Amino acid sequence: MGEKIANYYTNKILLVEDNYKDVELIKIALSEYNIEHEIKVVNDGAEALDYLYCKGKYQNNTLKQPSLIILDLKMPKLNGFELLAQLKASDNCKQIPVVVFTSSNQDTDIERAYHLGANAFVIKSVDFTEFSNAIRNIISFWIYTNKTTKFD
Amino acid sequence: MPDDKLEIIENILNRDRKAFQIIAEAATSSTSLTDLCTRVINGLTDTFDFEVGTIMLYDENKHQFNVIAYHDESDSEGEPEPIGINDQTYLHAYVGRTKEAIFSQDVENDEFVLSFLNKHDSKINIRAIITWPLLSSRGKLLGSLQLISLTPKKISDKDRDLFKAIAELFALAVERTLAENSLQKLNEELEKRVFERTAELENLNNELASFSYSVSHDLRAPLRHIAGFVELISKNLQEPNTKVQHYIQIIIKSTKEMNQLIEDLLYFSQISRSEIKNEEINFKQLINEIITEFDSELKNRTINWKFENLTTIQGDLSLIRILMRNLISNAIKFTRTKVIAEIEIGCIQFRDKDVPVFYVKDNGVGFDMNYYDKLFGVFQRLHKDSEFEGTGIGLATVRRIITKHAGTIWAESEINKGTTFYFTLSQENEVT
Repeated sequence: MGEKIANYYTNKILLVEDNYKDVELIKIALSEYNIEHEIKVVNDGAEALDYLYCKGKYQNNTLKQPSLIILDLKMPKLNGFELLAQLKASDNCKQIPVVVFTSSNQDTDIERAYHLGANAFVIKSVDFTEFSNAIRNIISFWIYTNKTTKFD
Repeated sequence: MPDDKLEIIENILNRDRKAFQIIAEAATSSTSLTDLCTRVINGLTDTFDFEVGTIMLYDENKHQFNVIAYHDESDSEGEPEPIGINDQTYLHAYVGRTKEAIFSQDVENDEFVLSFLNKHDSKINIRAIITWPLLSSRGKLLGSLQLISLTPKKISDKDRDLFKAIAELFALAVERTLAENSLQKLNEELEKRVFERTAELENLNNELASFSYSVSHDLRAPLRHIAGFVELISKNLQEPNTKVQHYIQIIIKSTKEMNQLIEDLLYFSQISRSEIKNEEINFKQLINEIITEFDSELKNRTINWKFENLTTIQGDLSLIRILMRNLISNAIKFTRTKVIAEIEIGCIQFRDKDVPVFYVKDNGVGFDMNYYDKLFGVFQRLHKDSEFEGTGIGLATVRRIITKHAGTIWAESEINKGTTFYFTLSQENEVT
């Protein structure tokens, strides 16, 4: 695969989520906690790969590797598991932390996600306060606390 | 007695013994019905010195005899065609109808038998002929056996008895082989049906699995959106409106209840599907872990916990966790009205049971034992939702888990005094 090498980082969060209502709730949750990060939303795994590898409709982009990927599991085309497997198998992307953010609380999904190399598994709560808190915790931990080693 | 007479007797005895031996060996070591009959007809023609021998089997459905084994040293008679049971020209059909054997030492002097033989153009000169019906142990017609000699035969009364015994023995061997064949066929059919049914069940299981997955994922998403955006409406209200806030709280509460319902249903459906594991479980530790999960609920509560005789148990950890979580959650819930709640969890050995009995006892509101038979039913509730919330799936789940462990559950309760749930986690054996 002709991968372009990421040579610099931005503080961008890549949100891979097909449901626009969830996207809106997540954005509201982020704005409530004054998290300034710019969020890039892609609607399925295939678009996420296009974005990360500057292909398809992103072919004219200058590559900006996100600092965090928030990943929904159930999506059309390439689903969350499939994307996760490809990301963690790629030398260029495997260092980007991936937080699975999903409705599913099934043990099999949790096990599979961690097995494929997810860095965290967070369940989308039906309770909006818990939902917002979950987003805040993800951001504060994965962006501020636990910065992964960057390549020079 | 002169020596030559003795020799003749000895020869006869040897011959008789050999005949039985042929039947016995064929009966015990033949690989199929055809093999059995072929060995018998070859053996009998050889031993008793007949040129032609035929064994026919009777087909009940077609009402006809079919050749299964044919021996012909004269090599000129030819294998008989199938013969109908009502045929008047063949001895096979005749003995089949009368169920009596026909012996003819010399057909030249036997008009009755000759009348049968004359109806066919035989290429050989038949002189002696014996035809037996083969009857099952219950007297059912299985077939016929016929021996033909080209020279007259002396057939004594003793010989008739001998032949009769041989025919009976052989008929039993045929009957047994037929039974084995149909048993084998039945087994094969059963195996095939089990295989098909298993595949069907696996299919259903997969469907159920993807159904639960959809339930867990797709049903929750809209619920989350309703709850989330309603909450945002409430925050964005220009001026405080208690009525609207009240309605919004009701909507939010309903979404939570529905979420719980989805959760419980999912557990319930998963339990019957999952393969049960047999693990060693630290029961005391498990219970402590579960109680910790209720921390936030227990902030303003006073509960005296009591643990009796909790050791290691055998079972499926994830299922027993769900089981204990349900029972403990119930105990916490139904003692809510008590200033000081008492919850006791323990294990006792009843004298009339050979397996340990676990119990969860509370001093809560209890329930009316008149409705006991509804206690473990799905969606059955014994309390008003305004008093005690719940989905009515918890105890149904509990019972399923216990049934999966081959155990039993029962309860005792008294209104306003409390409830005790008893359960076992393994099969009880008869106490002798």
